[in-house]
Amino acid sequence: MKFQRTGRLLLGACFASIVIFLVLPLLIVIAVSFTSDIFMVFPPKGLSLQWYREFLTMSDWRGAIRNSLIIASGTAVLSTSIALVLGFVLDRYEIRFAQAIRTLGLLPFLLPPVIIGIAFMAFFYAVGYSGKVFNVIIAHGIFYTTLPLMLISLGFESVDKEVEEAAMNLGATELRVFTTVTLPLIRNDVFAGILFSFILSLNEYFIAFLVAGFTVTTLPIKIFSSLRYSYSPTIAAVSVFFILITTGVIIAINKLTKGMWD
Amino acid sequence: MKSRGRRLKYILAYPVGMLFVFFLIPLGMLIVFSFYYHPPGGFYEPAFTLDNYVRFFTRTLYLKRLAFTVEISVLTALLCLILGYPFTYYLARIASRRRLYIILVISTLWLSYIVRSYAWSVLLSRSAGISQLFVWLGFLEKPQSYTPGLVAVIIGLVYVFLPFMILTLYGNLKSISTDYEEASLNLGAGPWKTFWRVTFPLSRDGIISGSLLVFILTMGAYVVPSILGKPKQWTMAIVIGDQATYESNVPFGAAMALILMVLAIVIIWIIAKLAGTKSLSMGARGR
Repeated sequence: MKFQRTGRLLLGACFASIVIFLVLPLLIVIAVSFTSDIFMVFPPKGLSLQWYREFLTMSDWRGAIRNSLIIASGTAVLSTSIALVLGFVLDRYEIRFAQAIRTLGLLPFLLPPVIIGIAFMAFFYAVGYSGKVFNVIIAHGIFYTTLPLMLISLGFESVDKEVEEAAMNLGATELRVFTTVTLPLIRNDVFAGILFSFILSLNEYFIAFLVAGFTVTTLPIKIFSSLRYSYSPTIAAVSVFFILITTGVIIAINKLTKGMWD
Repeated sequence: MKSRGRRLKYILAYPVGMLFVFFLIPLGMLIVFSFYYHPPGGFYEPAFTLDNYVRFFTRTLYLKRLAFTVEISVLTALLCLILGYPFTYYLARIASRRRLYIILVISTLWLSYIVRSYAWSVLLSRSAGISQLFVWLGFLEKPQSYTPGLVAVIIGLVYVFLPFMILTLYGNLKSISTDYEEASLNLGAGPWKTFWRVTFPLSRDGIISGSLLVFILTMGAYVVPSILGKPKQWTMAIVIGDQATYESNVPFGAAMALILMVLAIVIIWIIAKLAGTKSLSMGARGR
């Protein structure tokens, strides 16, 4: 079994190098964000929180944070509400074109973002209403409907229909059954859907840029334009913010869905 | 019963109406715009002209970018497969503390392309990057910058899309029962033979859908090549975005976006037909 052991060792080394490959760039960014130098150097010569202060106090960064939070929240509400209603109807009722409607809900995310972005650009130009925060919310909300729809559909599938029937037999109306029985049962999936589209919208650059990039500055748009002029460590501090919030939300989603990725 | 059917219609009106107005109509507008006329120095004028398509197919500049995009997408898919397979095999079969690694992979997967490309531009830079390490180790005389350039673009693309490959393969490899492998080992086949004769063929679906997923994602890649590449490494998405924004030529951008979409769909359809695979998963799977 000597061969097996060397094979295992090789595989283990392979695994470890990929883990390093995945983590190392992010660790360097975290290190750079604490530098006391004006330029990015590694290893940093001294430690400082000045770049975090700059990120949180400078008005253009604050404006970008505000826009991003508004857009991500709007996106979460829009995409999850579409997904919730669609998921409910598709799970409970025999309707015509069910398959077509489901595909319609799943399709946006399968198309490359450039296509969604240009399509919305053309659409909003044609309507004569372009370059607004609202437009980014619509574009993100539609683009990210897919993921909450997948989560919520799984939630509806796992609901024990007999519980609902029991409530119905005891005289509860359909709406009441939904709000007091079904919704609490799939609550975690709905929350996971909200978090998922929130975090994806927060991280998204290209569609937001195409739809409203010249008038609305989101955090990714602000980072991207800053990268053109300088490599200030402020960008590293913003990146650390993104790393923390994304990881936190992913852990929360995994908990809420009882390990959907395990 | 009738009132219930009507109520159902009202309920459905919201999601279906939203998707119709804000998804199908914009897609239709994309097609309509691709036939519009772009006056020199102007914006767009409603018309029916094939100029945008003719322009694309008659200029080597654009055809070259399309060819480059396809090439780099194939390369990225292959590299992700080569790096992702042994990793995922180890993760699914041997590793302990699996949940930690999965969270790591998923978190990097959804982290903004901007942040991840920026991280590599730091790592490949002269002042804060790995070339400092090479100097310290004595491999290099002076620190140098590896970005922007082709190598940086390839590393960046593999970095951002590898988690999609890993996740797709992971679901597939975990669903293959270890009983088959054990049976093969018990019957006297070595671990190497067992892998190539049993595990690898059984993971075919995962390999195909993972590669197709990375391929399609790279076909649409914008952020990585624009941060880590020079104009020589520009992908179609950059050319399209550039036309639609800085050149204010939305009709030409729309035509190119449609060409890109049709090409991607055709390639995927051909591969899926050849391979006889049914499903593509998107990194968010069932329980």
